[in-house]
This record gives sequence, structure tokens and C-alpha cells, in this order.
Amino acid sequence: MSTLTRDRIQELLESELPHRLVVTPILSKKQIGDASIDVRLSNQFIVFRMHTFGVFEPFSTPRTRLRIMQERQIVKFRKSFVLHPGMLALGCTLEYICLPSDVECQVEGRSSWARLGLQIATATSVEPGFKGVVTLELSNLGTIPIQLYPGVRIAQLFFHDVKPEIADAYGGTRKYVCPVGPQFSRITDDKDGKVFSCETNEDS
Amino acid sequence: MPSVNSPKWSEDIWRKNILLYQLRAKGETIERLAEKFEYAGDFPTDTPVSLARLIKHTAHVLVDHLPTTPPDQLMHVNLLLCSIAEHLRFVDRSRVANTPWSMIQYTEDFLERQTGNSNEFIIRPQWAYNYSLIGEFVEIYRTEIEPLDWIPTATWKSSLCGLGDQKIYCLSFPRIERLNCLLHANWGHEIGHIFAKQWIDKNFPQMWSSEETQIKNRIEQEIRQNLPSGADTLFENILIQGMVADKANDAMQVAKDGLTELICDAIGIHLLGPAALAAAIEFSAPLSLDESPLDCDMYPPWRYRIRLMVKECEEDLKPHTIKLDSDEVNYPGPIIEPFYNWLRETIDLVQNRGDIQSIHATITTREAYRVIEANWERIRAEALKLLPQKSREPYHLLHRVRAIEELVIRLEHDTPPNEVGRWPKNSPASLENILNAAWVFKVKKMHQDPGWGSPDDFEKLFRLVLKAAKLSFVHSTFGPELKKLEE
Repeated sequence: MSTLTRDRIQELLESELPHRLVVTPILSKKQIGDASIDVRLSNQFIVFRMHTFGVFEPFSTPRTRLRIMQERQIVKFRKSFVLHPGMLALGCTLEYICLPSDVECQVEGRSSWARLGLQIATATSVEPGFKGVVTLELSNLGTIPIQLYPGVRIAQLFFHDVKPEIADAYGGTRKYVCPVGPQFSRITDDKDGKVFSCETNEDS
Repeated sequence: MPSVNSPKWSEDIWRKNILLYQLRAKGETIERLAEKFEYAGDFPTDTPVSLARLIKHTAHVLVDHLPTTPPDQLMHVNLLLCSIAEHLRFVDRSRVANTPWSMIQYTEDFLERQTGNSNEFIIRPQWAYNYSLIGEFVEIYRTEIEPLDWIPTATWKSSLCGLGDQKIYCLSFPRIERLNCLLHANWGHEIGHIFAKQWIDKNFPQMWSSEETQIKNRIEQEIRQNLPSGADTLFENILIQGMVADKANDAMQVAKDGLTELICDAIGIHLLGPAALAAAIEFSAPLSLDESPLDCDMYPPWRYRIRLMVKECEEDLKPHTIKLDSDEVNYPGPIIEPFYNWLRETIDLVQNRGDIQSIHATITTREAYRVIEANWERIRAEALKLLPQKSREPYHLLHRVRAIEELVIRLEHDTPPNEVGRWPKNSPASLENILNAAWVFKVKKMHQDPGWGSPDDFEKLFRLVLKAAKLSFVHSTFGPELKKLEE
């Protein structure tokens, strides 16, 4: 597996579909680095409503109930979203991404934000064939609130060759199909988790 | 307070005493509610907040002038307060959670560009299955406040802090179609109401009065022909004149309302091209196409409307060979062809003359539509001239073949149709192209894949199109600024 550099990224951006690497829209040249593409923050967020929920038990909570603990927020462009210390919010990239079946990517935070305490992703790998926006798990590990403006460059995508190419990449039954906004957690869909959860054991 | 038995007691004083405190309470409640919306912060644009402010300031001025309000006008002030309170529902319903919010900013921007920059739109769902345009609110409030001579209009105007120069409309869509952005191509028709009203207000009375005598003569002739023999001749003339006046009045209303809708249809097609025709087809398919205007709130029969819309789209419904960038391109071409053929089915649809039969069934509708048909081409041209200069060029699919094909291919690969070209030679797609490409894709998929068309398939299409609208808006708004920075 090797990291793709500027020329190869450019080549993939100009390829024909479905072999094209789609990162859309790229609004400025600055976004394309020597071995990465900067992506921007979208204006959709999911925040947690702690007062509506007790402990979250991942394998026995119906997915619909998750909506009670999470709430969508839309922030107008040129307005800000304030991320307080210790707070977790789900955001997403403004850019819609389509990865060819022989490319995977890693989502990394930008160091300029990290130095303020902002962490943007924990699930950093995006599989070949993925189509959609990338959900970002935004958390403020610092001690001061951070104002986030939709549209700012928030993260970087590093691309890697996958060999051999995956047939039917990202096909079959997937949890997240062509997402266009941050996605609620679907941990409850993990069937194998139930095997290990104490709720199940107690029930059985 | 004098008691009922007191000689000083009167119903007017009794009412005045109640209304004074009641209206103050009502007005202040409206102010507070409007203020809550003003700071709610969950609207996709600032226009709902502008309407909330307009309502707040108007309620404030009415309450402020209660001490000088003539007692016999207090009931009227009550009606005014109740009516502006009702308008708060437009603000409330336009919250992000209720709207296809990702296309609202772009749609507002598009509508403002097409209709003139001073127009602003609130977009909200309604439970009734219909699209509609309500407003303009500043003008409605002005006409309500101006006759109140105890409130100087200048006081009301100055309290609005600049809002007085805005034009605020509320555009409604059926709630259950919130995500169905393809059907929202009907918005082109709705904003047509702004220009239809302008044309009707300025030209209709004159046009109608020049025809009125002739129409009345014809109506009278028909009534006389159909009079039962042996009718009482003593009152015959009085009776006939009454019937003529009623029918002439009905004919005028049929013509006026009919023309309004037909102008709106023409403007919708002018702005959005075949996407507007497609949306009208889907909207009207479950309805009777030949209903007489007298049986459906004076609306023209759908088949009649579709006939004129098909004519409006004439160029896009014929095959062409066009020159694009020195290449010869065949229109419609394989990608657009299924949509083109689907639209052309309407040519067969309008061969049926059921609508014309309905119109000819009564003297009222016959006369109204005789006037419309005799003047339609001129009226249409005059109405289209009311659009701002930059919107005068009609949208034609055939001139956008390349862009539409590219956007459809993107949709086929589960990619939002937000731009044409590839980085660095990419540019944002226009809302008109996005909507037309979405229709082309939908019809193509349904034509080629009988298994396609489940609610999930539609939802994915809507999500991609809504995403495209947002991305294209961001691209066209911020892209040039970022480019300038780089230079």
C-alpha cells in the first residue's frame, strides 16, 4: 500500500467514472496538497441530548430510540457552531467523496486545529468504493470553546492504493449508503455485539 | 364602571372596556411570540426572521396606539391582530426540520435572481396537498395600516427599521413531498404569480371592458334562446338583465383566474424548462384533466394547461442537430431520450379535446376562453417581459445537452449532480440544470429498469439532488471569493 501523491491524485480526479476519484466540490487550489486533499466542514451537525437519556446500552436499544438522544442541527454558512470542552458532536465533510475500487483513504485532522484541542475523527479509514460524505466525530479536548465555521478546511484525506482492486467494492449490505449528512450511530446493527453484551446474557 | 342598570351603561362602553385590555394582551403576546421566532435561530435563511419582525413591529404599533384608537375601530384592530397572528404560522413552519433545507438557500437565491432582488421568500410546508404563493406581506400590512388615521403610516414604517423596502412572500409546498425536490419544480409556476398579478392588475380591466359589451350581448342572446315558452313577460327583462350580469361576472372571474394560472405556467416553463412540465404532469396525473373551471375554483382544465405548456416546450420536444463547441450533437441523444419520449406522450394526451368540450359546455366558460385564446400570445409575451432582464432568455434543454448528460451520469454513479467538468476545470451546475438532470435520470431509470422506483430509490435520488443544490450554492457563492484570495 502506498500513499498517492499530487500527480496521481490529479490523474484520478480527472479519470472517467466509475474509476474517478470524486471529491466534490473542490473550491480552491489550496485544498490539494503534495499527498492529500483538504476537506471542508459541512453545516450539518448531530449533537447529544443528554437530558433525554440514561445510560446507552448499544445492543438492546432500538435504533429509533437513538433519535431521542441525538438531535440534528443546521448552521447557516457564515454563522458558527461552538464546540465546548468535553463535547462530542458529529459533523461531516462538505465534500461528497467517491473512492474507486482500488483506493482507500485515511481521514486525519489538521494540526492547526489539533493544537486548539480539536479532534475530528476516530474512525479514520474509508474503504474502497465508498460514496458519500465522511462523518466526523468532532470533540474538543482543549479547555476553551472552539467556534467552528461551516466551510473551513477541517481535515485531510490521504489516499492509498489497494492491490489487488476489490471486486464489488463497498457493495453488498452496508450500514451507511450514500450518506449526504452526518450519520447517527448504527452500533445497534452489530449483531455479533449481542453475543457479548451482558443484557443478552442476562436475558438468556 | 357603570352597572347595567345605570343610565350611563352602554354596550359600546362595555365592549371598549373589555377590548382595551384584551387587545393589549393579544398584541403583546403576538410581539413575544414573534420575538421568540426572531431568536430561534433554526431557519435555513433570514427571511422567516424578517417576517417575524414585521409582525412584531406591526403588533407593537397597533398596541401602542390603542389609547388613541376610536372606540368603534377596536373591533377592527382585533381582526387585524388576529390576522397577523395567523401569519406567525408561516414563520413557525419554515424551520429547518420542516423544509428541504439544503436546497432552500439556493432556491431563495434562484427565486430572488429570477424575480428581482427585493423579493424574498419563506419556504414552508402545508398539510394541504398543494403548492401556493401568499403575500406580499409588507404590502398587505401597508394597505391595512394606511387607512387607520390614528396611526401615522410614517410611524409604522419607521418602526420597521428598513423592512418596509422588502417584499416578503411565502411559498408553500405539500408537507408529504418535503424531500421530493423534483416536484418542487412547481415553484417556477408559483413565483409566476408575482408577474401574473402585475399583468392582471395593469391590463386585465381594460382588456375585459373592451370585450364586455359583446360578451353580455352573446350571453343575453343565449338566455333568450333558452327561455321556456310562456315565461312571465312582465319581469322577463329584469330577470334576464340580472342573469346576464351574473354570468358576465362569472365569465370575467373565469377569464381572470384562468389567465393568472396560464401566465404562471408559462413563466414556470420559461424559467425551468421541461422540469416544470414534468412536475405539472406528475401533479395533475391523479386529477381530472377536463374539469370545468366552474367546478374547480375557476382553474383552467389541466389538459388545457398542459396543452399550452407543451407548446411552451415545443423546441425541446422536437429532435434537433445542434452545434456545440464545433461538434454536431444529436438531440435528444440516448441519455435524454427516455425523458424526451415520456414528455412527448403529452402531445398525444392533448389531442383529446375533453377540456375544450367542458369549456364550451357553458356560455360563461366559452366566452371567458374565447377572450383568452384571442389574446393569449400577446398576453404571454407581455407577461414574460415583466421578468427581470437577466431572466428573459427561456430555459431550453436542448441547449444544455452536454451539461445535462454529464449530470445524469453522475447520478448514475451515486454522485450528486452539483458540478460540470472536472477539477480544475469544474463549475457549479445551475439549479435549473440540476432539476432537469434529476428528471432525466428518474425517467431513464424507470424506463430502463422496471425494478427501480422503490421509496428507497426515490429517497436516494432526492438526497443526492438536495445535496447537489447545497454544494452548487456553496460553490457558486464562496468559490469566486476563494479564487480571488488565491490570485
